[in-house]
Amino acid sequence: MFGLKSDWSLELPERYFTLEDYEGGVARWCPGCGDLAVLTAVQKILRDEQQPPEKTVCVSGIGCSSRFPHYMHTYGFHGLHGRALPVACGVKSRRPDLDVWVATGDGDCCSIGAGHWIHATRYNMDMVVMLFDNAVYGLTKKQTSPTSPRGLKTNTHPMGSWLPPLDPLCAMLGFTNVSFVAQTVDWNPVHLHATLREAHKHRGMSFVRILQRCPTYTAAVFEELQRDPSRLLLLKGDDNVAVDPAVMKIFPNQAEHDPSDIGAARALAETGSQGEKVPVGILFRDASRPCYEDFTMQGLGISAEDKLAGLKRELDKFAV
Amino acid sequence: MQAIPVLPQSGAADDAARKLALQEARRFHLGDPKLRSGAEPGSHGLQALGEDPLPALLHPFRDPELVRGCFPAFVPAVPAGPQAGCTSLSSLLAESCPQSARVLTDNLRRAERIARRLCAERGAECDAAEVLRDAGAALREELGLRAEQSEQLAADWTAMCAVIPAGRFVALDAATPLRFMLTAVQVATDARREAFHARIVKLRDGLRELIAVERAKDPASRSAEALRGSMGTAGAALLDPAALASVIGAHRGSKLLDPGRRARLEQAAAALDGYLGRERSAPRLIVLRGSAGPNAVALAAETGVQVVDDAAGVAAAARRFDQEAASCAALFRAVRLAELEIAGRYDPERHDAWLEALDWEGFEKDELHLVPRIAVVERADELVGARLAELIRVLTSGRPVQVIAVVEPGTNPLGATEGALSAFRFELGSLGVGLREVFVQQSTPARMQHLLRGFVQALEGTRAALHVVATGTTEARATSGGPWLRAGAAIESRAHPLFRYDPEAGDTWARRISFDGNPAAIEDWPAEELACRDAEGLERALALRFTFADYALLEPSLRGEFRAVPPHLDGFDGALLPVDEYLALAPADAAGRVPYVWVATRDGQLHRVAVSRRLISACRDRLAWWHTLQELAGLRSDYVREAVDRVRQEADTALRAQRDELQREHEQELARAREEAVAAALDGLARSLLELGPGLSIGAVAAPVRTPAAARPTESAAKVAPAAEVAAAPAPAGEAVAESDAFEEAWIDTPLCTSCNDCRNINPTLFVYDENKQARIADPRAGTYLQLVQAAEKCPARCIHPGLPLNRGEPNLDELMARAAPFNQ
Amino acid sequence: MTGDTGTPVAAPLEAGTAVRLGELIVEIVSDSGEGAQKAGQALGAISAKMGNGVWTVEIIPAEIKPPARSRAGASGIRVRIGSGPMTNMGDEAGLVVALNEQVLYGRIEQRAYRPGTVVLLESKWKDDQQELIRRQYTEAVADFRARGLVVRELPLEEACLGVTSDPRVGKNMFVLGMLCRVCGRALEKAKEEVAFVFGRKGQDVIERNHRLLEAGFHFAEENVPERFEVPPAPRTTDLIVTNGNQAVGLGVMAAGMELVAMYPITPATSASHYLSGAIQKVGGVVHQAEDEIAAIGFAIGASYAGKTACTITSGPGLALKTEFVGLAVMAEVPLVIVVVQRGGPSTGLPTKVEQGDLLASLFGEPGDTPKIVMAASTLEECLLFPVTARRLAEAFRTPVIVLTDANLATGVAPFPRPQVTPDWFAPPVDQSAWDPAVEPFAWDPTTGISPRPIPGQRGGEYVLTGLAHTRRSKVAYDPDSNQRGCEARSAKLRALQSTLRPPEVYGDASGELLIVGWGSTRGAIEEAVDRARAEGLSVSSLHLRFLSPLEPGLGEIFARFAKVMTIEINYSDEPDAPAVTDENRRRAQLATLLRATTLVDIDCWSNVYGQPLQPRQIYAEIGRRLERGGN
Repeated sequence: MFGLKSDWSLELPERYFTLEDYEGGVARWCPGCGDLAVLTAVQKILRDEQQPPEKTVCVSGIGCSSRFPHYMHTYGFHGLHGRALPVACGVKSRRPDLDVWVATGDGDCCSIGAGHWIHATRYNMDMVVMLFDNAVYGLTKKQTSPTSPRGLKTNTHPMGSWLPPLDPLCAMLGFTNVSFVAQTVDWNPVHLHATLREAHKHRGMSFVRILQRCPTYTAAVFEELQRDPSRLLLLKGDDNVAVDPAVMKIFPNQAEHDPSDIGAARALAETGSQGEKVPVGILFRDASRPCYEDFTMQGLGISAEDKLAGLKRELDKFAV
Repeated sequence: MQAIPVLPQSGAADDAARKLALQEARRFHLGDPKLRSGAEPGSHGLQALGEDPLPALLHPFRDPELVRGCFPAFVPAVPAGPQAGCTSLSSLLAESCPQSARVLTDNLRRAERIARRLCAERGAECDAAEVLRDAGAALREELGLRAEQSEQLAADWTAMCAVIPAGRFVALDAATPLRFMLTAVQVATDARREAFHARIVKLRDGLRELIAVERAKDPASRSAEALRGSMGTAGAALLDPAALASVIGAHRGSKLLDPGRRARLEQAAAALDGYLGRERSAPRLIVLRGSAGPNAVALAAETGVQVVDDAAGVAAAARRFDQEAASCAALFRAVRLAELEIAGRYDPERHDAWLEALDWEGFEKDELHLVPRIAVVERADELVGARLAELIRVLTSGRPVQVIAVVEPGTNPLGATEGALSAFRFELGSLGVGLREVFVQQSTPARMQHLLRGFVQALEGTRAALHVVATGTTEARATSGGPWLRAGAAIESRAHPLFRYDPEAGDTWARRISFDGNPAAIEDWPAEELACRDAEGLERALALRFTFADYALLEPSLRGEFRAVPPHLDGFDGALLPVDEYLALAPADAAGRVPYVWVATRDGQLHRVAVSRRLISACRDRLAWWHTLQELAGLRSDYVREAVDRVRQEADTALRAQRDELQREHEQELARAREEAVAAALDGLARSLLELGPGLSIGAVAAPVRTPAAARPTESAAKVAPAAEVAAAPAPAGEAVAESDAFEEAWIDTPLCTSCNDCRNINPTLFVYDENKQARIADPRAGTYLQLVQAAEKCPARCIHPGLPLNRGEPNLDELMARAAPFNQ
Repeated sequence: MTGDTGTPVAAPLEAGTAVRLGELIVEIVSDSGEGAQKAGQALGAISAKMGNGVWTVEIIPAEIKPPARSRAGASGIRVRIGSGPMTNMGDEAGLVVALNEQVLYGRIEQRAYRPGTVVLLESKWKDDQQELIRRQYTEAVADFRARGLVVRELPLEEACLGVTSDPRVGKNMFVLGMLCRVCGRALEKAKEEVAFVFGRKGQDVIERNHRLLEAGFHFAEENVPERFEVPPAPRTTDLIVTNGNQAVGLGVMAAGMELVAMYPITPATSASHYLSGAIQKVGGVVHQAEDEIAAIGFAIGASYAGKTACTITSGPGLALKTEFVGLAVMAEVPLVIVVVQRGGPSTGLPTKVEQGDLLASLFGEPGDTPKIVMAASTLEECLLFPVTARRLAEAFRTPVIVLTDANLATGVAPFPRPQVTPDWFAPPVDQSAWDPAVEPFAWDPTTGISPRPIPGQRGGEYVLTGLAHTRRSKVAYDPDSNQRGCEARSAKLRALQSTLRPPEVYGDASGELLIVGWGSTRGAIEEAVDRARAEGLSVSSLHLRFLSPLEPGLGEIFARFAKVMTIEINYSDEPDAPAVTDENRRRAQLATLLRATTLVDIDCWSNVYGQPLQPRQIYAEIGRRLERGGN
């Protein structure tokens, strides 16, 4: 009878990848920089999912964290300040087969690239956007960033920054077609890894704000958060980031949160933006939002004959 | 309309004459050779059957031209909907006729009669549109309406025809099952072929893409000529392609395919292209007509159908299938290769041999369905005669061959050799079911939806199928009524019950057997009322059951099994019994009685007709098989009835037991409540005596009270502290030093490591990364205590715990230990 | 082309005979929204189908809804009909239909007419209820006549009333019928065209417009004494009729591009409008980005991922894209950038003609950013250049700018239908394994060309960067790497130049004066050169399509002429303006470029009135130069 002889389902992946397969040289961030933890977390996720390095593209703008692609042994695009998102969307638009990761900083994303940020959210293309938020311009040596806390003394505001900081989570949760918003901290590798893994699983633009220590310029900003976990609020629940119970114990404050509730998400972000109960975990997730690549990939793989026939029909319309 | 049949005049006769007549009838029934052999009437009133006898129930449908059966049937060119769009002429007209068309609706039956006549004139098959066009014209002529109304009628007729899709009208003849087989093949295959076509195109394009990428690396595609072609006409005028060719140079970078793979891709693309070139002309149905198969001229004219006359019939089917499958295998090889190549997973080492060996047994279900369907059509008596061994071989070989056995339920398959009355004992359908893994259906084109569904179901599966089909057309000498009525009678009389046996439906009888479509499926025989008049002309209604004996009347060679009994035997001594009642009696009760059926002759006269015992045995045989089928289909089961009784009994017992148990528990509960009330009162008393809070029970009084001095574990310790620490019992604060002595070895809280490299920059042999790129201490002797302390101080995650120095000789140990202390907590 | 423009001077007096002309320029001007453009396009199409050469250009007011009866609100269309091919909008019109007298002033200011131009003027204003309007009208008619225009006052709206109840909607078809009669166009062909244009709107609409056509035709028979005839020349090839932006759109598709990323900007947008409705049929998509920067970034992303992409913009958009153009040059990402130039600087004259973006295209980015720049000079080149550009962008791994302008973008004329083959399309994306020994910037020492790994190619993983980098694409701050990288990118232009054919001189290969042009001025320049040469003047012209690298052999060609000058539509100081000296004079852009590269003392003549150059103006300038040269 049919089927008895075939073994087509016995296909095994041709290659097996280890962490080294994703490592692109020694990272040259400052000692103690939080970026290193994110780099490792991403490499681990790719390893866990056995994603071929050549099918992965890391796109970044300019800034300390935008060096990220250089430390990955994948394809990378280290472009212009603020412009990572349009490039990443362009990559995805006609190559849905590629796994796209975007590394962007608080200056890159929330300041010079803020316009693209809003629209990339609206396009909601399937990629992970990691906002490395260290609340300062590091690469250009300590200028105020849009997320710098009020009063932070920088080279552009030596008496302390004047205005309250922009909160990226509040902003994201106000953008049209937002589909995934999460927050994590670089100094908890377990939660960081679990959050990014959830982001990678999500189809659509997964935005993860990573509170990231800059030991050189803003050590004080994060030290308090790191030392006093009661400042954080761990979001938990069936549909939230699942971490080991031992890790959960580190967080004295925990709250059940249903990520499908955007109203609750906004309330959490708002409280967090006041510096209290900074939420970590998934604030919002809606997999049903439309993805722009479903539209931009139309006609992919059309044959040359069909192309020619289509073109001839177009020319016919202009024939005399 | 046929005249309403008339009941016989109950003749006046004395009891003696009646006795004699009864005796004669009994003798006939029991098989008195003298009475059987002579065609002449008996001496005491037993008579021949009269002119053109029919079972009474069939009398109103004596004239085939006036029977509104489902033939001619409409078969659309492109099957649509769950019924494939096949329908009777009557329903076709009724469903398509515009509601508002008054004259047309009033004359729709007239139109139908005209169309039937036209179909009959045009033979087995005719184009539906043409017939309808001519019928419309004929109808208008026949009605002779005023011009205006006639035009309206023409317009309505055209509107009606417009909603009828292209198709053919098909008469019921021996080739009709093949026509429906083609429709079923269309239903089961067309969508698959289209999907397959799309898949092939996609794969072909995918291969072409790979080949195009490869060609772009060829020196030829970097030649002046190729560049001229690719730059557009303006580019070729402004640039010198030869110069450009030398500038661009040879291909670099991406690797060339190895020549073997490129050749494979090109061959596969060519194979797929070849298929796309010839798929339209490839047959989808190949009919092998055995030596006794029906004529199938009309079918042979259809596209995608090949009719082959092959005397070897069923024996040739397997050969033919293997041939077709072999040529499909070449294509499927290319498809599989293309799929693997496009995914970049083809490994010649592994896959070459598999592809080489691919034959029909390795086909996937969808692939198997793309092999042209092989249908063999043959008379059943031929199949169970000389070809029986071949039939069984084909059916059990696993090849999905459709065998259509055309059967006459009354006489064949064994009629030719065994005589009419033994023939029915051989059940071809039962034989098929006995082969277990073969799809079997027993059906008839007279129930076209049943037949079609069976065909489609068989074609959707992947097994050999045996279709035992009664067409009503092959009886030796046709009586009145026409094939549709005869085939229908075979169903009604249980001569040819409808059933399907599908091994793919499950592995129990109930799942495998389908019994739908049978009339009065839970009864022994279907009941029907017959309107008639008595001798005085008053309208009466006879409640009749249609039995196998009625069906036997349609078979001329069985006429000898019937004799009309004189009217005066009616009611005498309870001696005459309708066959169905007779069969229901216990043998002892039946003794001495004569079973009869009602027969109508051409002149509309009804007669009671005595039935021979031999025929009654045949009836019993049919009924027993019917009961078996009912049971297999789950309609009746003695097991079930017994089981139900047993379960009911058990349930009653259990219920009673439960009730008793509940009662007992209730009583115990009451007793306990009383005891507890007493205990609670005592407890309250004790509590107030000992001055305890209300939250503690008496039992808790003895437990040690928790002290606030109990060690508060650090964050990290709570999570992944070494076993030693976790196990350490809480100790009084004064013993803290002794406790830290307990883990003097340095360790790292690895899951908290953020991979920052700081420790590894201090000493990469002391600190190493694990497979998750998180730090652990490889060998505490590989570095100094100073390095451990420095690393702990530097670590942003504060997850390095230096412990106590291993080498007590290291300088400045006191200071270092003091620095280490905060990281050891 | 004949030397005579054949512009009619006055009507023949004998009724029934027509004046035979080599060409005729017709205008219809009105307030916007009166359907003048539809009537003119139909007239052009009818003429093209009759075998005439045609150039059609729309007259567009800058505002979307300008006030009625205003000079700035002149809206309409110019149709130049000739026996041979027409390559530009020509000089002054010979015949104009004006639906009010004020809009005619708008055109007179733009030097569209001359004495003898026949004006068919709507006369209803003569009896308008407002005194002001009646006076304006009467004064204007007198003024027109004083300027030498031949004015025919016609009650057009009233005549329409006989056929339609709403003449405001139907008048344009009435005018078309009238023009068919006056210009010798076949009424049957007009009916076919109308049926084609209104085909979707149903038989009723077609029939109503047919009635209007016929009424206009008969009205002209009785009321307009002029009749002209422009006999068609036989044609041998299949033709298509498009404007320059549609041609660009067709070219983008003919190049097999899969992605067009754009942001709305005049006058480039209509190319994207056309593509948005057509490109799906050839497997592509148009992305309307959130801004000009994102548009090019999106296209670069797609191109980096191996898909051919382009972006289409105009001057202000190009300014915004500069940063990404620099990145594409630095990181060697193939990309086609179509720039439909408009008036500048800044937002300038959005709807008007200028060739002001040449130097910005070449040198707009900080640092050294060698890239390929091409300029289309005809509608046909608008279609064909994207195909060439795509191929060169990939071959040389660099952005290619294709310049067109508002003149080409809005001009409509027939040209040969391209014989597209699948070889024009980009090949599929290479996903085969990459040889890791070949670096992502393995620059060929001579040509600077390097092979490009594409995401998905195993073994080719690299990080593209806009920072100075090594052949391995590793960020490098050492002086040597930067020098090597710049050399390699520069070498690509040299290599490309070595493959370019030397440009052909139009006219004699040597002589008194050589006019050098680029872009859309070609038709007008060559027409003027023809006219001057017919009069015995020693003038030739040269038209450049490649501006970066420049076409080879220019110095040698220039040496054969006594004088070399460029004619361009961008700003230059008048040589005799106050305080202008040879040293401080700012010259036109191509002149500046050519002087710098060839060290030849190249003069220029240019202006920025926002109008296409007329052959007559160029002809006049040739005359002046040769006179001056004679001095």
